[in-house]
Amino acid sequence: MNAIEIVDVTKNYKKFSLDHLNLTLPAGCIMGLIGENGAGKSTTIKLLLDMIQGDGGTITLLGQEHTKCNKEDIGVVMDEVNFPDCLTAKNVGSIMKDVYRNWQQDKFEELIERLHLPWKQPFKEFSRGMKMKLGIAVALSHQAKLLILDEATGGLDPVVRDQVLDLLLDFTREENHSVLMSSHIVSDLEKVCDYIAFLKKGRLLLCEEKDMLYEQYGVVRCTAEDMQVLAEDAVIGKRESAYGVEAIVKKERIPAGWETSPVNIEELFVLMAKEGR
Amino acid sequence: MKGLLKKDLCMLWNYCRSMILILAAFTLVGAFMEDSFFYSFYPVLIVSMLPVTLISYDERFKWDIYCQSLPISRRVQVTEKYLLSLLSVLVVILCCIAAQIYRMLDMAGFNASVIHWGSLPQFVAMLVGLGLISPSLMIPLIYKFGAEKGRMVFFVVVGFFCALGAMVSVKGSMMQVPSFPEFAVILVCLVLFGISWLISVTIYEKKQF
Repeated sequence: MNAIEIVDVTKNYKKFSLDHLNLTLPAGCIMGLIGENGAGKSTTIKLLLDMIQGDGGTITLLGQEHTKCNKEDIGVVMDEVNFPDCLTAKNVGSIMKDVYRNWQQDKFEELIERLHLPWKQPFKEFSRGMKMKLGIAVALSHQAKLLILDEATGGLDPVVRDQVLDLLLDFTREENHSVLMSSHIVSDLEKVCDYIAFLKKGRLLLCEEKDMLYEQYGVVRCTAEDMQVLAEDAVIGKRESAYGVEAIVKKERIPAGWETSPVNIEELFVLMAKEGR
Repeated sequence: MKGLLKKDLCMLWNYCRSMILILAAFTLVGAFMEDSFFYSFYPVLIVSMLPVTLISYDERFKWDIYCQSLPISRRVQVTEKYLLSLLSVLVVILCCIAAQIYRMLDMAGFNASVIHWGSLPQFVAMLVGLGLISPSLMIPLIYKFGAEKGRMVFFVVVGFFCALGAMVSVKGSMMQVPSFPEFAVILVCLVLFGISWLISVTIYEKKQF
């Protein structure tokens, strides 16, 4: 079963359109959603969560039409964790106990201790990192099968980010647990994701297994004249300087004998995003 | 629903504690004042604004957005606010009735046989009207336009009807305002409250976040 199936989904705004998006996240995997600001990442997540209604297409979450999907099975962390600022972690646990039928208070308490969060400090006194950790502790404490994180690691220091990524990896150790996370921090996605999806101006540029990206794409460094030899569709993106050209290429489309070095997802994203501007 | 009520009660305790104290003080003072009109009706007016205050806080903290990721339907989210509104108005009305009865007894030298109880249903009907009409009008507007714009629209609507009322009363000063039995007033207020809930649910179920 797929955790997420997005088929031909369209959403039109006055100045932006999500254009016939197709995306599949197999169960048990982590997918990273990359894109510039305004690429459509948050729109996609809002559509998944039925916060906005699409203009076309279908969305299936955990085998069910997304509007009928049981939200008990989905843990969500938004870019801002939106608890009223008078609440403490203790209050949040007590409220969520009555919101989720599958709430695990023991697990929540264990996570609060593990993440060194205070029980009685009001939310307004939390740092961004602490807020995010509380949001993640809630998302992980109700036996969710699918986690959806929208820019959850943005603005966090590297130590907290690492803690968050460890929690995600722990979560996916259980069979059929899946994660969709959008982030600007490509290195985070590169660390934990099995699949990478690139969105640009509402269009999906690619959605591929991370290992396949390493296999399919490579970096060539050559002179501007040598670059002319390459077919146009072989070059994903390039950076020219006085010393030559650095280009990300499709390995299968370059002539035999050309040497490539391994691609880095961040470079691939930056060059793909730059291309066609 | 229980989780949402718990969250709102937490917020009430933290943000509206002073309001609760004011309500208690006014109700108590109302019990001992000879002319208790203002002291009896003011607490009900204040408490009728509670759901709107809570919705504004939800918007401010973006809880309304986060709530869409929880296993709580939009209908239940709206219903909880109406339920809280009804319960809080009911509690304050009961306190005001108790204060009014005490005041009536006090004025009659605690001789129940000389008290004119006939004024009590009228008093209750006015409290119910004051407590329910304001949220009935406000909540759908707040759900439709958001807290800031919703309040503005509310003031415009109320201003329009006040101006209309003033014009009608000037031009038709001879016109008699029909009087309704108290139970009919209470019933109409409850029906209005129910219609308002239906409208709010419809608005909120279509809302895009």
